[in-house]
Parts: sequence; structure tokens; C-alpha cells
Amino acid sequence: MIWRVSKEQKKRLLRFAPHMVIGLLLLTLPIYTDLSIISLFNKILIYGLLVMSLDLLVGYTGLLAFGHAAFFGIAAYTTGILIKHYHVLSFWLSAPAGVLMAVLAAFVFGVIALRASAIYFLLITLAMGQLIHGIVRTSARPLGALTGGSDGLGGIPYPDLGFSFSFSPNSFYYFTFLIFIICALLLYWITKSPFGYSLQGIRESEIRARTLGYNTWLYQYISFIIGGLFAGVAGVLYVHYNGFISPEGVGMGASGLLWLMLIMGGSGTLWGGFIGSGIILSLQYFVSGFTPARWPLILGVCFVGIIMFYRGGILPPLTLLWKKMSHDGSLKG
Amino acid sequence: MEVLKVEQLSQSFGGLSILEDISFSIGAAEKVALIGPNGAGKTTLMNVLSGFIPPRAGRIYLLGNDVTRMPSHRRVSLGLSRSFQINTLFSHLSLLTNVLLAIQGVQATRYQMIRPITAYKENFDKARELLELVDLWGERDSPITTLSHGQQRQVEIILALASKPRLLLLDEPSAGLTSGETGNLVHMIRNLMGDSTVFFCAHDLDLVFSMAERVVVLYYGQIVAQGTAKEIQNNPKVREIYLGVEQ
Repeated sequence: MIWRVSKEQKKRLLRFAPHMVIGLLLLTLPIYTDLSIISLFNKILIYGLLVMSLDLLVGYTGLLAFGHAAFFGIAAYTTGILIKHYHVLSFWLSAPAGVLMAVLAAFVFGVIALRASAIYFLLITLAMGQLIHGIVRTSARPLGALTGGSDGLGGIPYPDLGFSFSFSPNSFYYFTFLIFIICALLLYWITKSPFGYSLQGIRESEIRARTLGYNTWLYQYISFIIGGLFAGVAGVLYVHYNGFISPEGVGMGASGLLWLMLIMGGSGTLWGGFIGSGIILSLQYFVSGFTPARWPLILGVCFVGIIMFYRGGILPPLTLLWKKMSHDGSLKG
Repeated sequence: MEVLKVEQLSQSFGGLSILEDISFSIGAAEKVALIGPNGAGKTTLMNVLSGFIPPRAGRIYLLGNDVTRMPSHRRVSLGLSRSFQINTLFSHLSLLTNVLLAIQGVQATRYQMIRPITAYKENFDKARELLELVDLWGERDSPITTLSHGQQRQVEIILALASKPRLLLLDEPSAGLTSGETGNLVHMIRNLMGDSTVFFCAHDLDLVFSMAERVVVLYYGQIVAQGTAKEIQNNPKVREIYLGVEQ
């Protein structure tokens, strides 16, 4: 039987070709790189997912959430504490518990933060992020004994999935990759759904959305919770990946870094979050190898460059280029 | 039954009284115009009716339901819809997306998260029908920002009509249009409104007298006259407000 490809299918294949190439490269990564690169890409995937979940809030819903690392941290700490102090070793218990705590936090924070909008929303989420940072940083008992205070919480092993399987760095990379793909696809579907387009409408004009029958508050609230959920998934992966979580990963600095990644990659593009995570973490990895003291300077220069020349981030011009190439370039047919 | 009934409605901002003791009602399929000089309170009345600001006193009934304290989105599900004096569209989304969002706003599927928006074929067909009526189907993939002001005014009306409202509020539908464009717009509204009840405010008296069966005159927050177009044209008080008193 001959596999016939219609014109429509061909167009789709061509459109998603870059996704597939990147996916294939990521999939075959352990074959041609060493462990330190795999570890880097593992981190890129985790932060990629985290920034994509932030993009749902910032780029799609128009909510300037500046405390996003808090949900990441809550999930990481919950899972970490359960494993370390309560010996809940099964991944199937500790991971959902971490994600659930992140969702619960989003549930509560959302109600408080969504009483305000725009810059005031930003300030409230910032304050709540700092609140979580303060809680995990304190060394006062009983909390300090659980979280390790400013020393952080360490010694978290790779997840225990049961059926006497134990992870190696390579297999954990594939595990992260699989969860990343599932979550990224879910986020992608959400953005393309009636719900996702409603979010974009609310971002564009809340007042018009309300006069068309949308309960804009509820949409923003649901979006905030979904953002918290995926940030929680990233947090659980991170604590297993890193084996360690400290207050630095939770506070304002961490949330700011996520914004940096989002702006560099391109907000409102979803995949831009992954690209931004890739750029910044790679820069950090390679540049800090050469000049450990000056890497923030290089990062700053790159950031200014992108803001000056590609205000919408890196991804939109790349997408445009690909569209042009695949439409009227040599790649046609 | 009245589609809209307003009883002793008052509104004030700080010490400034904007609407005072407004009462009127609009029957099914009626086309009623609201006129009055600048600052008479027309837009405030529209905003109170659509639920953006709660009134200080008085009651509003929509199709027999007391909606005085009801949030705007729930009034929409009862059959209310409105357009804005200043274009209020989803500027960076495509024209088609704007219309699809307007159609799905009153459907339960608006919360659906997993199926793509393009899977809802009936909505797509409905959007196509609406856009073809105003010759904008060819522009469906353009973002709103690339459309002309006149086209954006048309989109304002299309979005308001997409949910097939029982009561349509139009706030200055012809704002910023030339008289030629206004003519086209009136033609379009007439085509699309069907048996919807329409309550609109306008400065352009040609528009008012060509569309309205009844006119309500607002002056400094009070209703000073209401009646058919002819009665209003001959009303000495209205003539005084609009033309001044002969010295």
C-alpha cells in the first residue's frame, strides 16, 4: 500500500517539522553527549515546563504573576519532605502530594491575588511568593527542622516507581522528557481550545469578554490554578533531578529568572518558554565555565540585545522565518 | 411583556448626580433611541444597564428578571448584549477569532479545554455567515488592528449581534464614521437585528430618526421627553435643548 499524504497533511507535517527535529535531537541526546550535557538538558526541560506554565498566565491570560516559583517550590518541598522525613518513598504518593499542595496554594493565592489587577496583581503575587520564601527559609522549629531552613533540603533520590526499577541519569532524563512532552501537549491543547482562546480574549479586553458572556474572574482563576498545577509538576521533577531544594529556588530571584526566560523566548507563544529556558540555562552552563564571575554580565547583554531587536522574544521571528522558508523557499514540495 | 423595565434609577459619582430617577420601559422588538447633549448621562445609563456599575438606587428588570445587582456576564446569558462607543475589540486576535469568541460566549462549550476551537463546525459556519454579510470574510485571518476604523465599527456590531441577543444596546454605533459609512452601518444593523429589541444612543439625528420607532430624551440625567420620532421633533423642550431659545 502506498502511503498517500494529502496537501493538508503535508502542510501540517512541514509546520511541525522543527518541533519533530528538536524532539528527535532531545530523544537521541544520550547517544552522543556526556552526562553533564544530559544533566543540562534535563534542567532545561524542567524549567521549560515551568516557564510554559507561567506563559499560560502571562502570555495567554494577561496575568502578571510574579510569584510563580512559589508553586514550584511548594511542590518540591512537599515531595522532598515526604521522602526525607516521612519516608514516603513511592513516587506515586509523594509526587501527587507535591502537585496537590501546589494546586491548593494556587487555589488560595488566586482568590486573594485576583481581587486586584495588572500591577497590583503583580505586587500581591510577589508578596505571596516572598511569603513562601520566608516560610521555607526560617530555621524556627517545627518548620525549620522539616525544610532545613536556609541550608535547604537535600538528599532526595531519584523517584522510586516501584517494580524494582531504579533510575540512572540517562533514564531519568527520558522520564523527564516523557512528562515534559505530556504536559507540554496538554498546555498546547488548552491554548488551542475554546477555553484557551477565551483566555486570550480576556487578555485583550476583559470588558468586552464580560459583555460577551464570559465570567472573566473564573477564567483567570482557573488559569491561575492550571499554572500552579504544571509549576508543581516541574517542582516535583526538579527536586528529584537536583536532589536538593533551597529557599533560593523559591523566592523573587527565581521568579524573576522565569520572567527573563519567558521574555527571551517570547511570551504568548507557549514553546517560547522552553526556548528561553534553553537559552538562559545553556548560557549559564557554557559562559560560567569560561568566566564564572562575569556570566551575569553576558546574560545582561543578551537580554538587552533581545529587548532592543526582538521585543517579542526569539521565537516569533524564528517562526516567521520558518513559515517563509517552508512556503516560498527551497523547502517547498 | 417588557424586555427592559427601568424603575427610578439613580446614579452619582461622588457628589455629582449623573442619572436622576430614570423610569422607562421597552417592549419586545421595539427600536428605541436615547438622545441628549454631551454629558447627559447616556453612556452611564448604558453602563448601568449592562452591569458595569451598580446603580445607587432603583431597579432594572430584564425580561421580567430583576438584574439590578447581577454581574454583566450573567445578564448576557439572559439575552443582553452591547456595543461600545470606543472600539472595544480583541485587537491582537484575528477577525475570525473575535467572531468565534462572540458566538461561543453564551454556549456551555466555552469552558471546553481539550478539543480545539476549530472543531466546532457550527460556530465556524455561523461566523462565516456573519462575516460574509458584511463582506469581511476575506479579512478573517487579519488581526483587528489592521482593519480600518469603519470596518472595526462593523465588527463592534457583529460581535454584539453574534449571540442573537433579545436586547441589544448600542452605544453610539456610528461614532467616527462619515455619513456614507453611517448609511451602510444602518443598513447592516437593520439586516442583522431581526426581531431583537434595540436600545441605542446616538448624536447623529439622521441615524436616530431613520432607525428608531420611539425616542427617549435625556438631559442632565433626567428624562425630559419620550415619544415617537415625530412627537420628539415637534417637542418645544427638545427644540430648546438642541437649538437654544430664540432671543
